[in-house]
Amino acid sequence: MNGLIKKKIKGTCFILPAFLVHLVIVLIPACSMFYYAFTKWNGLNEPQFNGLDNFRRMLTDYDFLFALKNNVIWMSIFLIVPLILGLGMALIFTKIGKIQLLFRSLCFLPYVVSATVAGKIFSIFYSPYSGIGSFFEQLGIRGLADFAPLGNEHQALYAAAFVDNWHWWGFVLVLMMSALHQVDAALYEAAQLEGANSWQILKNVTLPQIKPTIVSYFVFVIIAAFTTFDYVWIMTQGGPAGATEVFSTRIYKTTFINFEAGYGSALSLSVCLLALSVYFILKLVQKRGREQL
Amino acid sequence: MTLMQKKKRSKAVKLTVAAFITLLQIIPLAVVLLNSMRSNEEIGRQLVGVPTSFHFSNYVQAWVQGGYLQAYGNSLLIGIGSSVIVLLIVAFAVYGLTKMHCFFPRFFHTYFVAGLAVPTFAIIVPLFFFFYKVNLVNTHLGMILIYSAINISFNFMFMYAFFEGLPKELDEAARIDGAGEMQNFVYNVVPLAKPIFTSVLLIVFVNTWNEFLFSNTFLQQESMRTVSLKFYNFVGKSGSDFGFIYAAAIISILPIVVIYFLMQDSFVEGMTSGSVKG
Repeated sequence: MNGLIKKKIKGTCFILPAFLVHLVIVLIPACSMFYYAFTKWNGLNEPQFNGLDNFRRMLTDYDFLFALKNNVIWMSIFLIVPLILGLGMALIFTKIGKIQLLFRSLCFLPYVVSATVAGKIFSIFYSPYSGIGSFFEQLGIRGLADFAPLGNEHQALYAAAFVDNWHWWGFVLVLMMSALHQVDAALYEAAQLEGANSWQILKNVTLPQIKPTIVSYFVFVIIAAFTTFDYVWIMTQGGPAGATEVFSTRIYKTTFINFEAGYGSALSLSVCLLALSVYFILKLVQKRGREQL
Repeated sequence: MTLMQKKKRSKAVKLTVAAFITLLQIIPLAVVLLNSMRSNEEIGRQLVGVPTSFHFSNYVQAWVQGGYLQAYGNSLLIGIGSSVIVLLIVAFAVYGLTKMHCFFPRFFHTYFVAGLAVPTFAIIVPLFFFFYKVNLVNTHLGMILIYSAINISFNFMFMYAFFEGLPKELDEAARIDGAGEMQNFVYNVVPLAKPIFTSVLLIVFVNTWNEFLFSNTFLQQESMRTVSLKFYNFVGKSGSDFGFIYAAAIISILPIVVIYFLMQDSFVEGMTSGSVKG
């Protein structure tokens, strides 16, 4: 008995370093938000408890609530575009022989480029003086000469999403290709013997077989879209005129530029709880769906 | 048209589409690479073009004026520090959970997996002011701690699946021979786990090299900035010196791109294993 306890102590010591690092850097700060969210705090002084004031303020904070619209647009874009590109290209790539490896690694390449480089380079491309606009003007195509999407309230969000999508869809491609490779080849042969055409094979064999990958893709995108930050901040900082504000840029400005850390905590807490509850609802739906099969 | 011809034609169409999309995908990076070797006047005249002569001066100037030596030092220190720490602490944790007896194994397992669900924005606000109080803002150590912590959960899941699949007989044989846990870890587990350890090191290193939100918040001193962050600030200051900017972009991504092309397999496998982590 004594020996077992000794063994268990030893084993637990192997786990503790990772646990403690995670506890101090992730769990404790995350939990402390539940306290800071109910305080007036500038980050430096002692936080002062102010009850539900922050949450009451949030309900009339139209800058913040307006951001929801942009988060939803962002989510819709990423639910559709990278999936169609990634899955569509994966279906094509897996049927062209060995050269798929070269194409795959080139399409994946932007994924390893940092958001700052991708975002800033595309900002230059989007600029009317040094970018695509002037490129077309010099070619004599006037229609695109005024192309300056980052300065346009109606285009800026899509322009930033385009870059994030360029950076990310190669990752989806690789994911889908590995899902496709795991589909049992016998299923395809059987379908072909039955005389199914390629559309029927896609609908009845391929898609059902890779459904788990597609579902995890949806779950990931929905969660990630609530806290998307890098590309919006790097390319527009929420501008022009607040047209591209998302939750995270509002939180960032509130906390680190206005130094309203208490209110910023309340905003983060709300967004994180929103994202987590959506996550658990989706997991539940996913589980139900699996049980029905 | 025979079936063979039809199949051949369909393959040719697919090949063309694949080549076309791949070309579109790499054009932006190709433009960056070409422009990094052109002069400002050439770029000003036309955005897309082949360099008439190789302007290496762009690189020299970007490296020197941008202060990239220091930035490389910062990024290497933070990246290597974080990836080695993540590898060590996660490998030990997984080893303890899968190969040894320990207290509350289910709790620890659930804890690490659940860590994946914590959004970055749930920790950055309190963490910043906590680090500010204990003087970890603007330090390498602070960044290494953050990057180590936020990379634990994903790599835990990645390594756990692998360790669980290792044969138990080896450990038992080693223990009968009187080997301690550390000896067993070093001589039995490490040789088998080398590929997965490489993946973990690469993933964490690349993640830290490219990370933006935490580094932009916690590293405000010019001298502490990482390579990606340096580029972010460099572009704003350099106006229309586009030759430098494109050269600086190449300098910023080069190590990662080289690692990617040299070690593609362990890299891609690690990044896409079972999870959709962007």
